[in-house]
Amino acid sequence: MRKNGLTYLLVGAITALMLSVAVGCSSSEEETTSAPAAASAPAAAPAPATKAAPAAKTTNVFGREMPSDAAPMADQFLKINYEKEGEALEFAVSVYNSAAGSIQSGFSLALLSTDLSTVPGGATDWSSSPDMKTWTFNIDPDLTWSDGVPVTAHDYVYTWQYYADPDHAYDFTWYFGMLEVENYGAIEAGEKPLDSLGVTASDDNTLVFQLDTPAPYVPGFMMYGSPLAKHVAEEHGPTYSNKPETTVSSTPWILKEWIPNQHAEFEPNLNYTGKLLPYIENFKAVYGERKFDAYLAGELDTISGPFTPADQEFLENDEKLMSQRGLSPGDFRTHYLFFDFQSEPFDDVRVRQAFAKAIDRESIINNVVGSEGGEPRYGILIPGFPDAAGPDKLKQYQGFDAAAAQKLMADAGYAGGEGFPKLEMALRQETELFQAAAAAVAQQLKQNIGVDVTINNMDRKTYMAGLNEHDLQFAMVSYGFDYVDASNFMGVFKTDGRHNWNNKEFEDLRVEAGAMELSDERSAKMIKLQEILSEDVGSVFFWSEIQNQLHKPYLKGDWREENQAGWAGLQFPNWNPGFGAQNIYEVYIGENVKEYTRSAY
Amino acid sequence: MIRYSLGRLLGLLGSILIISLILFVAVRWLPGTPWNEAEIPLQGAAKENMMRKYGLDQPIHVQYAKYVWNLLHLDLGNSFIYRTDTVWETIARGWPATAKIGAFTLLIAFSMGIPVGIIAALRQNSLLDYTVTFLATTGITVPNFAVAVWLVMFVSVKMDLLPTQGWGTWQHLVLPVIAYSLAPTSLIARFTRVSMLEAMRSDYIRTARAKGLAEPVVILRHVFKNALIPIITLVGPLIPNLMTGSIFIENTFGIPGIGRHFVTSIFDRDYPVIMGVFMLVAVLFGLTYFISDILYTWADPRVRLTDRRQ
Repeated sequence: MRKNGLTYLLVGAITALMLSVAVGCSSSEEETTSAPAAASAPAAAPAPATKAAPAAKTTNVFGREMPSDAAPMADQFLKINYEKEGEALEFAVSVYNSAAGSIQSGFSLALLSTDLSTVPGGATDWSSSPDMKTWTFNIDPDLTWSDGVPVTAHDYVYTWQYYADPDHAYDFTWYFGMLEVENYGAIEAGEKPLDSLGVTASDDNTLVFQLDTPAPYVPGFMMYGSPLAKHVAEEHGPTYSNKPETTVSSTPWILKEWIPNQHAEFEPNLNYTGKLLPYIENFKAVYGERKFDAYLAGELDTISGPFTPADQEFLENDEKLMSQRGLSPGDFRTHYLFFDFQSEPFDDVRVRQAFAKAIDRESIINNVVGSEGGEPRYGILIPGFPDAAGPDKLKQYQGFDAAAAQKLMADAGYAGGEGFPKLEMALRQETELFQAAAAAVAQQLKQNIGVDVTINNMDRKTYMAGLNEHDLQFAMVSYGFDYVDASNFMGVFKTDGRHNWNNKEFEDLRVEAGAMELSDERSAKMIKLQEILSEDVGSVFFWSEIQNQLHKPYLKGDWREENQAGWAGLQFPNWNPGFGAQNIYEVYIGENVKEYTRSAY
Repeated sequence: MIRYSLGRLLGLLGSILIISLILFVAVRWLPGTPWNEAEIPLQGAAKENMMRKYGLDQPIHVQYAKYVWNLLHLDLGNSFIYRTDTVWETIARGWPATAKIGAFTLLIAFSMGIPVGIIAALRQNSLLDYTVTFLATTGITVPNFAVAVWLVMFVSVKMDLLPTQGWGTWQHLVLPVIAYSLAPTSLIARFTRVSMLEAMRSDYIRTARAKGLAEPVVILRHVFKNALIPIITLVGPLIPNLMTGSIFIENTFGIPGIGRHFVTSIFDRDYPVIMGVFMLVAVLFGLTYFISDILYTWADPRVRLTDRRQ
């Protein structure tokens, strides 16, 4: 008994000693955390920047009358999520390392509506020369930066010069270079000065693009291209919008605070002069990878997939959550399988066709992806995208037909898979969902044509090095649109482009159609291109994601209704105020918000 | 002692230089580029501009010589991904969060692990001992990310008590520290128990008791002090390990620490950050082993620093 008592005494003494150290440390911890705690408090319920008006007709700080079922102005804030942090908020600085969810502070020349049409943004209207090589955009004369300086054509010229600047070495230069603006390539190579670029300002409000080759899709192409404020960039450098003290904005919102890897808060730009008037006044982008849990806990108002298979299953089995769901094709991304087309055995079209016909896509969607999470594909374009060939038109080339696949393999000399090399399917650092889908493909190839396939989920950079050097024998990848025109997707399959599938008929037609004026004839050629691509199996088109989203029931607005293509939910480009014309401008918090708990975190 | 310490520190510097060379060459051998080529590969002038921007247009030995020169001036360069930040700024921004989580984790691991281990040893083969052993084994074998996800689901989502993710308030600390401290606490408890039992069976303890020393004196001065030697061996590497974070914990709880950089910098081919964070670990581990060696001389009378010539 005495021994036990001594034991506890001894242990108690050691514990007390340790805890005394703990108390000392924790008190200093409290001191250090108190400041951020205080700083984050307004984020939970951002202070309304408007005059409170409980009467029937309430007008927000932007002068827009609130809907009759809107919650009080104090509730008109939105909490969204972002999952990758980067170096700068401005699109012109970096696209792939963009920060804080890429919330832009300026309008692209044209914006995207939720049904993929192009509508005025920084420009009120535009026109082209008959040869479609000269495009003129008229900049909105009313638009100003938040410091009162007008937004002019010179801002856009400055920004385009910055894209091409060899010292900038822009990571998205391939996109703007694709338009073949006069001297863009020479400037990038350091052979010509920046001011020789074929983007000029005739006057403050007239912006002219001079192209080397005709392009009918220029307005849609300009969806990307939020401008830098020239006068501020020259004074503070192009990353001026990373800091509230130097940032300016011509959109309805302006940066209030950005703490990398934590959050970015935006408050109303009280000097906003643009034509698009939003309902919400404040919003906050919260960094974190576990968005699904944060949504369930009421810390976020809205999230977009893809979700993990476990979260997707949870969603599909929860009636309440399903009623909060929105759907979108996202950026119309199609996942496909490609080959080393120049080497055996995939230089034989019969082998490629056999692979295309050996995969039962519908079965994989239903059993692996989830019937609510994806759709089978037989071509690169998704219905709803302009000039997409109907699925039935392409299913004849790539639809599941195990018997036909076996015959094609036998004709190619690989009956029952005999003599066929073992394959490794490379994946681009994919999530569990894509790994599972790839495993199902491997299983079907074994079952239907006797081909052994193993999966190698590679580190992304290693994969991309292999892809760019055409070093991968068999792999899965995806592509989503960059601008709304079928030529964007066709360019992916150009001769010696992303893949080494070289088809002369396709290439000639691609070049011809790409330079044609938008017309039925051009559309017919674009559809023909898709047929060639599927028939010659420029890739095995596999499936496309249906982006599942969750929106709290108190998020209101016509963006929740079905668009022309039948999608009801948040459509591309999501909540971005500089690219999209509707989503963030039409969302508001309904009065039913009082029935829900919005977490203070 | 001073001569020994200086010698060890010089050896540490040499080791760090060798590590830097191996690391520098190894990361450049990885396929891929620091810039993103998610859709279309960069070609021609665009690619050359990128190479020049990142200083990759020079031969590797020139790049390394420049790196060492800058390192000697404590200049780790700028991140390739967060180009407006120096590597020091990247570390300085993330380390406070990582260190805070690590410090609390260490505190819990020691203040709970050692007493629990001692109790289990003193009550060997009792129900208490079996319970501690079972819980400690569970704590070691269940991965911390699984515990983290479970905690988020129950404490945050179901019970709505604490935030699921984020940083800035004391509430944001609770779940990460619990999840992170489970394994080291269990490990320390297990090691303490085993070390105590070994020491308790020693002849010198029997002698101490035979001499009539009071039990607390026997336990504290003889058993515990001798049991400390293997604990020091274990705890040494544990400290830099915990103080440099865990990608699982930081990602799960959205903590803006440096733990994630150990993985993301490799995925991003962010060479300066890879070098920075791994060199930091090398230095921390080197220093920890150095301090552990010094502590051995205090804890174990058999270890004495003597001139080799003697």
